[in-house]
Amino acid sequence: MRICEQMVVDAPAESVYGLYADLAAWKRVLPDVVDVEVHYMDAHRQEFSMTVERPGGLETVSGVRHLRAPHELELVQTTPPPGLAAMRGTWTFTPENGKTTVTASREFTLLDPDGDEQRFAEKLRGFLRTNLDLFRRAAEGERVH
Amino acid sequence: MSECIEVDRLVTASPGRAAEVFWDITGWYRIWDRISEVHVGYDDGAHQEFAMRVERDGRLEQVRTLRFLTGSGDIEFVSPEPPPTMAFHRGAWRFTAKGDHCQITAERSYELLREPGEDDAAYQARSGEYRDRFAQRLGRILDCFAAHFMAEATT
Repeated sequence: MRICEQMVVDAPAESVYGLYADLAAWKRVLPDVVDVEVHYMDAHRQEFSMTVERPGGLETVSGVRHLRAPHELELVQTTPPPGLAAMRGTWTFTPENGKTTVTASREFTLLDPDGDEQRFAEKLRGFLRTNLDLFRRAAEGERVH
Repeated sequence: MSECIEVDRLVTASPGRAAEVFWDITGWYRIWDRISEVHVGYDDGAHQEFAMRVERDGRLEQVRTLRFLTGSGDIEFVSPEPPPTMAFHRGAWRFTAKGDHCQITAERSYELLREPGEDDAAYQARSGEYRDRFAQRLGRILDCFAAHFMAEATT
């Protein structure tokens, strides 16, 4: 199942992209991120593990990101969150009049084929909206300062 | 000092078939017997993560590799844990149609680590020798795959 959330950020695409691409920034921007380990990074790809606080406890996911500056980041989670068989997605950055529309899409497959996809999708949309807003604030704050 | 190598061979297979055989890392040992203990951690058909043991220059190396099937049907890869003699190691297998055949190009970028106390001249000389050996090794890998595809075409 695929879902999508969007937010306009009052900052140029290059700086918004740069913030999302910088894995070290995730711990600063998102309060639920406990740890980020970068296993590999070059100009085009990153491999990382990220530990986040969830209501059920700490969750560690691993993934690979393709960096297509300054337009798109593509994510594949090689170790998806508990309950998921697969998770991948993108962030795209569309500039317009000095602002940037950030579109976060996710495609997921539940481990349990009879699981409630809609319910999980709604929960995931909530996480995406929260994260988009936290990144928006950080990007706009960085621009002001 | 980073180095780049390109080696190619023509094989009797379509680019799609060649890429399919190269992607199947668990089947490599039947064609190139210098690898063993392959453990695939992730494979969705476009992204793959695996660890394996490789025999190189008479020693066994443990490496971990991420591979990516590109939109044009090539396989690109990086080594988050590169061979122990290298600072980094990445590359690609590229598959180009040439009539009824496929040209497979092996691309590699890497940097040899300096040995303790090694001066520039000694390092450059060793890098040059290594580069030649590495290119020969890639040629041998491609020759093994060419023989495999030839056998496929004749059976």
